Amino acid sequence: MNQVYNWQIGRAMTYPHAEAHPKWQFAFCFNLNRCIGCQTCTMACKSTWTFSKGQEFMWWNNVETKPYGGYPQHWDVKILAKLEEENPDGQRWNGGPTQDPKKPYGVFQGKTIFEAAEKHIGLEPQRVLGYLPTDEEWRFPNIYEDTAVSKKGEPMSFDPEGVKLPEHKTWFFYLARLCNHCSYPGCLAACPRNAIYKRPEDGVVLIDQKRCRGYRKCVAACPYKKSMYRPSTRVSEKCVACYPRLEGKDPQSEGMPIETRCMTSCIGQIRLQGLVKLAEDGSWVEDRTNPLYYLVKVAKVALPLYPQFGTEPNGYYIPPRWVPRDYLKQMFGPSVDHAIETYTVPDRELLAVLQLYRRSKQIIYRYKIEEGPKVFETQIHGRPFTLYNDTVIAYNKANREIFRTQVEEPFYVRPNIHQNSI
Amino acid sequence: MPKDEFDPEDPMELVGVELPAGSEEGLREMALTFAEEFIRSGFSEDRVLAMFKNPFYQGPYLVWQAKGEVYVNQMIQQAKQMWRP
Ligand code: SF4
Ligand code: SF4
Repeated sequence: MNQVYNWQIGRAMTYPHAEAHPKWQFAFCFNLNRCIGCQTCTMACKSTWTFSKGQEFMWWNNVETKPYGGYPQHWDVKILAKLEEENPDGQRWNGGPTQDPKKPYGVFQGKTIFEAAEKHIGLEPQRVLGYLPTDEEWRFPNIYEDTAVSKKGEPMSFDPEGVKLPEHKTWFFYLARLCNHCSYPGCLAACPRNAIYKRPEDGVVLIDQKRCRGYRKCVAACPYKKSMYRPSTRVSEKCVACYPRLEGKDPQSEGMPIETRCMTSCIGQIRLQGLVKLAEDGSWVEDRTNPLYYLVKVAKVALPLYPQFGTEPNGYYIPPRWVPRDYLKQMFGPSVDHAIETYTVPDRELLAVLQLYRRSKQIIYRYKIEEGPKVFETQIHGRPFTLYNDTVIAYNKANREIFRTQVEEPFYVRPNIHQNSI
Repeated sequence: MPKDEFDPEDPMELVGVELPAGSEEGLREMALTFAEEFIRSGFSEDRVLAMFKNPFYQGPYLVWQAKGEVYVNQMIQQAKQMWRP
């Protein structure tokens, strides 16, 4: 076992491979305060990559209703329980967030999925603590969540009342998920054939379909359950981060990198995806005007999903404000309070950066803010707040302007007759 | 069995899960977040209210059902004071 540094847990950890990092890393920031659970992202992915025979139960992108939903069912509860079993009462963080960029969320004192596996005694030795979900668990991506069913005897119709939908009278939120193209992927670590690799140019994690023999070690090892087995080909498959788009090879892109299908289709405008520049040691190179760098490293409003698993996932989330904090802290680590406070009363820059969400397909490499006039002063959640109508300008890889937009955005309602036209 | 009928014998059925912390404060924060997010995006008060009253928007609808229109209107007004004073 090697020692590698994982900044999300604020310490070195063991990992089956030597430390190595790509030049750029695929990453995304989702604003969970805005997801409406429309599943447009899910369908965009399905209609692009997983519409063939043998892929019926494969949803590389899925949106589940937390706390009661999960795809595969109970994935997070199960892996959390397994970790707890290996390290009873020890899965804790030491202290809270710090200013030290090497441990911004504090130090995780418990065991990661790699460390817990070392001590795990089972039928077979494991490199990574995990489990293989059953077919049943994969089969129903949104069972008993609040997804509408059609009216009895009237296929393809909706119940105008909607009151027959299963109702859960509690807080909930939608958690949109895809492969996190982790810095220390569990899937890659577990593969006995070294069929999984991380691309040096963008950190995308791929399964070599020719090398894979379908042992499903990656399916068991990915704590996010984003590597999936395809019975018709007898090999595993996973999200490919729409790499032709990242490479600027999509005919629409005019040679410029564009975001993945799930990102660009997002109705709720909760998704922003890009590439961040990495130093040789895997830390993020200071890139003050890259929106992802700003959201994760400067404003610190976006946090990794279950950082304690230890894979250093590259998907970040602005946590939903109304959810009980204990639940959120388990899911996103100790910096939740700071993230929510910052998001609830955003400062001038954050407000402008949030406007970058979903204004273009192209990946934004840099933004610039031009100061605008003061619009009003008020109090937000008891704190003084001034709104400025700043203009934010986005630039692509070639440093050309993609678009500019304002904090006070005009609002258009499309007339009914054109609702479904493109 | 049709997929929209519930069967207590079904092993896949989610049963008896009670979640702590479903508090009044949480509900208020949830309602206010919906109102704030949409007012911030430029929705009019009427449109936001219409969303709360539409059963297909489960989150907002849940609040409207539990607390009624007066409460929801208060949330919308609060959001408006913050984001469109
Ligand atoms: S999310 Fe899972 S499948 Fe994706 S890179 Fe991480 S461990 Fe591998
Ligand atoms: S398209 Fe966007 S808003 Fe709709 S479910 Fe996906 S992430 Fe949520």
